[in-house]
Amino acid sequence: MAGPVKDREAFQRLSFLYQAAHCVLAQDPENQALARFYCHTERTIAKRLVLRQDPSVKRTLCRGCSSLLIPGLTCTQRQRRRRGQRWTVQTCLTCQRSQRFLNDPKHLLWGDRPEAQLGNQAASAKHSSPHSHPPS
Amino acid sequence: MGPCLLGATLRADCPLRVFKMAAAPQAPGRGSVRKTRPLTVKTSLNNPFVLCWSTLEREDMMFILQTLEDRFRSVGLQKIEDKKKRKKPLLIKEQGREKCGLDIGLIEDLKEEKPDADQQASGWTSVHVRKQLALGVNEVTRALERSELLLVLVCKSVKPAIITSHLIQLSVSRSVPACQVPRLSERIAPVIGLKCVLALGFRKGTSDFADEVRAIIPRVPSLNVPWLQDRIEDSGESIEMELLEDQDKEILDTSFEDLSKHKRKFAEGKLGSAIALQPLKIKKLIPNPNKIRKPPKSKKTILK
Repeated sequence: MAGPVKDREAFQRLSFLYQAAHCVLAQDPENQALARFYCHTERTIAKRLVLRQDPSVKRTLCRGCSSLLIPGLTCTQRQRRRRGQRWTVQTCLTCQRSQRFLNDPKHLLWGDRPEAQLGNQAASAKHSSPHSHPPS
Repeated sequence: MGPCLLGATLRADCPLRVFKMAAAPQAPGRGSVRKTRPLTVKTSLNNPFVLCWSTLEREDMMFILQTLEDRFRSVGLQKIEDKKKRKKPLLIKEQGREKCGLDIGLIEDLKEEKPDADQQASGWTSVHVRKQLALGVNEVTRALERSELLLVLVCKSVKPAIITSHLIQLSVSRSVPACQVPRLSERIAPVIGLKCVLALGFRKGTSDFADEVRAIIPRVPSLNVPWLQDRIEDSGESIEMELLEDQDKEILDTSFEDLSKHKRKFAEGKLGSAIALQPLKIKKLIPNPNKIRKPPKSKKTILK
């Protein structure tokens, strides 16, 4: 594992801000502005330094107002049907912006697949996924 | 040449490239013999919190499933059998539907539309029992948001897990015991007459299921949510959230007073004791070799 990761301090800052936003909301559910400010700062840092974030982190941040999404507190999450498929719809309560995720039992994010992990480089068989085909 | 240029143009502005000489996916050869392309590794910030359900022991799981099944059978199945026969033509019509919460709306519409002479009325046979339950993910979510539930049971064999993952945080914030029971849907859905039951909730003031709820609650393990944990650490399965809130408010008031007096050190001390800072988690990813890319502006096209 590469010990020295570039911009490690930046990552630590991002992580700290993210956790601080959670703590703020845990202690004072009304004070969403502060959590939003922290997340906005986090997004700005990531944008400026072009740092990549895991989808599990990005999904909890609203893209419109960059507030921290906690189901039941700052966002609602419903199962909806559209065009014969089942989606999970997450709606931010502050800016009413909704995100849709398809409920496909076979779908797996690239980051979660085993061949994406650094330790499993040997298993680099090209995984056939429905959304990709090899560049010729 | 081609792939290298491609790589450079796409990721020129990304400062986070850690080159590693390792067994890399073979670059499409452009004639010259090139062994391996340096493998680029992308680092991404991983979520410091890991939200997962707590594990349920096997005996508890069997007990819960068994009691629920027996209870539903004794209360409902005799009555709800008619609905089962009714639902078959419905299921054929609506093929895309799987969520049980939606089916119930349809059934209630049908109830009004067709006043059948015979006893096989479509819909729930015992409405008052049905009202004490919250069946279906949407209904359980709504009831949790309004804090109407005593107990929440979630099916564990859900794919993808995102369907029910939001219930963890919701139920922890409302201090409602909840647990994930594998095979919940498989066992209970046919008993009630629905296609699948991914989430089940018992509303407050339930008379028929009070015994079951009281029997199941002690067996439910407590949920762990890192940032909310300190608030609810002593409660366990208690439903008295207001008490907790008052206690927390007192603690917060004192801590804020102290913060105002001693600026830095005290603040750090309080933070350390209240909620532990999770260590930084970084995920290293290998980019997808099969990723669809837009053809570069140069004439060397990549066919899509």
